[in-house]
Amino acid sequence: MVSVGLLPVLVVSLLLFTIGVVGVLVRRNLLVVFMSLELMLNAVALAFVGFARARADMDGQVAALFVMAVAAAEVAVGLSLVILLFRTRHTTQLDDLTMLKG
Amino acid sequence: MPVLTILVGLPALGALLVALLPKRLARPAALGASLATLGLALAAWARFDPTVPGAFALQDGPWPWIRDLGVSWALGLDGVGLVLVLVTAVLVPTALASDRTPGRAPAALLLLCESAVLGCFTALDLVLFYAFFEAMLLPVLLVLALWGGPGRLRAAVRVLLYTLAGSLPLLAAVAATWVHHRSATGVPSALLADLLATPVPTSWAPWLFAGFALAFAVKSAAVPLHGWLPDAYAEAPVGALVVLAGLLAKAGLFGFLRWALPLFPEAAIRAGPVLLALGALGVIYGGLMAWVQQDLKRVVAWTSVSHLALCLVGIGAGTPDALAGSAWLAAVHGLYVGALFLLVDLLEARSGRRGVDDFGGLGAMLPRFSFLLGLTVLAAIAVPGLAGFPGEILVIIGTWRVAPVAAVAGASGAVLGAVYLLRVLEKVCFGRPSETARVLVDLRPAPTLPLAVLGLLLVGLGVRPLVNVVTPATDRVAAALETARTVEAP
Amino acid sequence: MDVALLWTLPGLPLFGAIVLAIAGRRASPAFAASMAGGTALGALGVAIWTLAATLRGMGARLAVDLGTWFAAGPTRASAVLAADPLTASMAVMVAGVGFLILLFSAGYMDAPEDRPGSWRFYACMDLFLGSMLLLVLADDLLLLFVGWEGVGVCSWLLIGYWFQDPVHAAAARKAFVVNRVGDAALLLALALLVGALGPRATLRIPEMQAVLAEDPSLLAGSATAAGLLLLFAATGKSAQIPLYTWLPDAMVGPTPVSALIHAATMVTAGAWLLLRLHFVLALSPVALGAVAVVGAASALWAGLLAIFPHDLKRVLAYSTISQLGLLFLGIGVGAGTAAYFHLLTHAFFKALLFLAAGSVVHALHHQDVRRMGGLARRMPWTTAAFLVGFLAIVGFPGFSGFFSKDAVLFAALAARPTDIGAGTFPLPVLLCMVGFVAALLTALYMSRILFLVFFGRYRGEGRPRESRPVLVVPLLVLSALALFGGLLDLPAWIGVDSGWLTRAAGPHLGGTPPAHGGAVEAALGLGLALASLAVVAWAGRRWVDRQDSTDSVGSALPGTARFLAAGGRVDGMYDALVVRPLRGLARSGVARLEASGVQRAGRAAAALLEAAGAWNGRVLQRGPVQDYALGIALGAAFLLLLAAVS
Repeated sequence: MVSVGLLPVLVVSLLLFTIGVVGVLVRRNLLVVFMSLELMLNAVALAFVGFARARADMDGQVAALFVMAVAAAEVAVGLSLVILLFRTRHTTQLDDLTMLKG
Repeated sequence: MPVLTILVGLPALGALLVALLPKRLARPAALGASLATLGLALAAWARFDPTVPGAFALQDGPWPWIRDLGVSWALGLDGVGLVLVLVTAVLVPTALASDRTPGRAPAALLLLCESAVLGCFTALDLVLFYAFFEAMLLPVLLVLALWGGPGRLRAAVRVLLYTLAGSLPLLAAVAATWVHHRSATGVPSALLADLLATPVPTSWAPWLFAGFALAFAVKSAAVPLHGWLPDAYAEAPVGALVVLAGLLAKAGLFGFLRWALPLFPEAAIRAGPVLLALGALGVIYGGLMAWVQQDLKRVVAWTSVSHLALCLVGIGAGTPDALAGSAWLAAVHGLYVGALFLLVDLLEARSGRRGVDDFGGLGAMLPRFSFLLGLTVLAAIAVPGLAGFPGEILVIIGTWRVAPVAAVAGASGAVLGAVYLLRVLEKVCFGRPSETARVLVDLRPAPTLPLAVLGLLLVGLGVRPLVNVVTPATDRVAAALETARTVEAP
Repeated sequence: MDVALLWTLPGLPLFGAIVLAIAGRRASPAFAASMAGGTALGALGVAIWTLAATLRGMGARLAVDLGTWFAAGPTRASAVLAADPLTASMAVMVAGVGFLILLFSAGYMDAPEDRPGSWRFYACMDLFLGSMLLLVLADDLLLLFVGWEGVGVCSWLLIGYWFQDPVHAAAARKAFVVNRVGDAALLLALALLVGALGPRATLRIPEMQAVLAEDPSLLAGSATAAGLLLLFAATGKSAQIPLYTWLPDAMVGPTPVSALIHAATMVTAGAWLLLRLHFVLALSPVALGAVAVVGAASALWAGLLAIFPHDLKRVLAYSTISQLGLLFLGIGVGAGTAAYFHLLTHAFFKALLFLAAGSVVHALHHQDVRRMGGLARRMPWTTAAFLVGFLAIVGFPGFSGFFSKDAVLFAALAARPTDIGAGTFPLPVLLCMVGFVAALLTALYMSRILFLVFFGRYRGEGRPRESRPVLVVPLLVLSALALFGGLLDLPAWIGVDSGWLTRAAGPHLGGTPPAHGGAVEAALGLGLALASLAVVAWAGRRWVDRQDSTDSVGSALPGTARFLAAGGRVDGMYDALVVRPLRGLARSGVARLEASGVQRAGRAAAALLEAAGAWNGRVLQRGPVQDYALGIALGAAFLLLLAAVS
């Protein structure tokens, strides 16, 4: 097995996270924003696993499992909200969803 | 047994009951809770022994609350707190009994307010005091905003703004005091006894005092910070009004006596002339405004401003008699202002109007009402033999030694009071009845009961004033001020 | 008998008032009158006993102390009553005259429309008696103040007894407010005294007197201020310049009220205060001079104003002001006993005059002298009583008024200018002359009334008859008192056992005991009497049985006459100088400031809040969710940076 250091893992995690953030901020389709959100969560899970391996500490892997569970729950709730939103508004373009005005 | 904690918590418990019980039982439950609180307050009075050494004869705690910040749950009762607690316990049942707003929410809110007010008067921990001081406004504000008169929203917004303007400096001052204490002793604490042991440096003291004073001045409607009062009093429904006028305004004056003056005596001495001037101004200003009002509720509102200003004069003077008079007047003022508002509300409830000129000749048609109105008016203008007299005279005599001009203003306030209140009495009770007055019917015994109780108190406390309950506490404050005075001028 | 009985003196009438207040409408007029009369009689009995007890040792003092009423700092109010010959004799007068007037009221207040409200009348009268007795017997100035304001409140209640009439209500309010101005001055005087006495501050009269006797310099600069404040307070209660305007208007109240409160008792409270606190006044010759000047001026001014009114009671009201002016003059020149003497005699003959007038008013149902005349034939007893009162007030030799007036005028003449702060200016002589003229004016205006009402032709309607015995008997008793009251303090030049009052009450009054100075005093007195007689004769020729029913006075000086007939336009002056500017200040000044300044500040603050909310809506929360997400991201980055740096 190829032994990888901590740094490359963190770099990949950072890249994934950044791509995710940019996706959330820039993309206009609601579903793509959700996917970007997932990317951010997975980036965090990756970082946890990397640290767990580097410090030989199981806590990080446990945390990664938590992240996956929470992500799953969040996706379930979020996608049902998206479906409801689509049913009433007939759009998933964020430009058209501006009801949260001040 | 933690009497004080139960006292403070009982009304809140009552509010909970009111929310949970079926609708029919809600209001009686509220009244019951407030009466139980009154009973408990009387029991506390029976246990109160002013000869006990130390400042607070009755104490609960201190029990740690927010350990990391050194904030404790500490309640205590001294003479001034006791009379204010008793007045609170008497006024809230009368407010609840006379309240006409529909539904159970107003009663629950007023009970919550009572808890906060009782907490405010008994708190021995500065942070606890601040919490109660702020908390007591919210329930009343809600009642005002939801069930008040046509201008209620504007009035509520104004109350909120003025109070906030005062509270933010207070919060800063409280925080600064706490920080200083922690840096001086290394142990965080907000207890009054501990804070008194670590006086703040003289460079900070004026600012901190100003922070406290600003909030208290706004609360007690010191001119020119009184802008919130007339509209709020005119628009509030009677239950909230009695609580607002009879209790909340006192909290500001109480704050001076319990916290601001003892914690910062030198600053208080130096600020004395300012307080005297503002108070004297308020007495005359309030009196003149009361004279020209056309709305009965506003006349009483401005009366309140004028009398609270007289208390402020006493506080500014800082002599033992002036302080005692101020504390006494603050307490008794709640009784007669509450009674006046109840009487005005009676007229408004039965006729839908409350203009000064709308009535007339009620002396013949409504003799019991007129008698009570006359009695209350006489108490308000400090006729000897009724409750208002010891307060007013102690303030005037006590202030003369320090500031004769302010004493003259106070005495002029007595003359003005006779002018505008007798004008009201004359227009309402004497002369020929107006169209509106003709349909009114005299009071039946039941609605009169709260008013009769207030009337009896006004007479009883006039014949046998309990000033001796208040003096140990106010003498202590005066002594602290006197020490600071002699230190200032060696 | 126990000294604690002293508390029944104010206590009995007070108890009567409470009983009647509780009974309310259920009390019949007979019950109410009996209750009030009974308690007054009881008080009178106790008062007489007290007087006897204090006289047993000439100048003995009975005191009963219930302890402290309330106290804070140096200010202490004690509930202590004390009786010495001075206070006891005053109490006897108050209770005695009060009882007689209540007896009279039983007959007077018999109109059908008054019957349901009679409980209120008698309750207030009883409350008044209680307050007045408290005022007289109080040994502590704050307790005295209770009585002081109490009589003011009762006066307001009783003047406005027929409150359905707005004129009556307004007169009552005027009385209260004008009195209140004096009360405020009294409060300030008390504050000054407490402040000046420092660590030895006390408001108990004998103690204060002792402290000041030991160390008069305590009051140093403020003695004059204290004296003037006390004087100002006294002018309110005793209706002197400048606070007298309420008394003439107060005559709209029932006549027994005018007799009791506005002739014999409440109006004497101001003079009583000055008498009790003579030791404070004595420390300031200027203050004494002011008292004398105010008294003389009031006596003269009121005398002039009394010549014109058509209202019978209004004339008597101005007469009261005038006689009290002489009283103040006596106090000012240090003749305390003479002044007190005149206070007692005036109480008797003024109450008599008012009750006699009341008898007339009751029979005729109006108070206008233009519609009276010739009543001597129809109401002989009333006329006789009025005549006795007339002779007493005019100072006919032998009647009580003669001796007391003479004593005051002589004391004024004999005073030294320095004693009343006048330096070398012969103020005392001037004051004596003014008093002399005022006494002559008394003869003038009283004669006018006497002749217009009781002699000549009857100019009214109907056939008036003499009043019932219940109204007449008090008149007779008071006539006897007015007649023989002079025996209380006969001057030395008479020759018989004299100066009883001086010996009994003098020590408690301070001032130089009037050296009843032989020939000069006699000459002064008899001269005044002769001059008055001449005036009466002239008045008789002028006013008895004129063909025209008018009583035009001063046809020689019509402008002055009109001015004086309108009360010197003093009410208008006060209105223009005080009331209207204040109300103008309130309306245009304060109210305008409130509306524009304060309210605008409130509105501005509210607008600020709204603007903040609007900015939030317009700028921060425009709608797109991603903007919010950007905010979250930036905020999180910032916090991370902070955490990394610290």
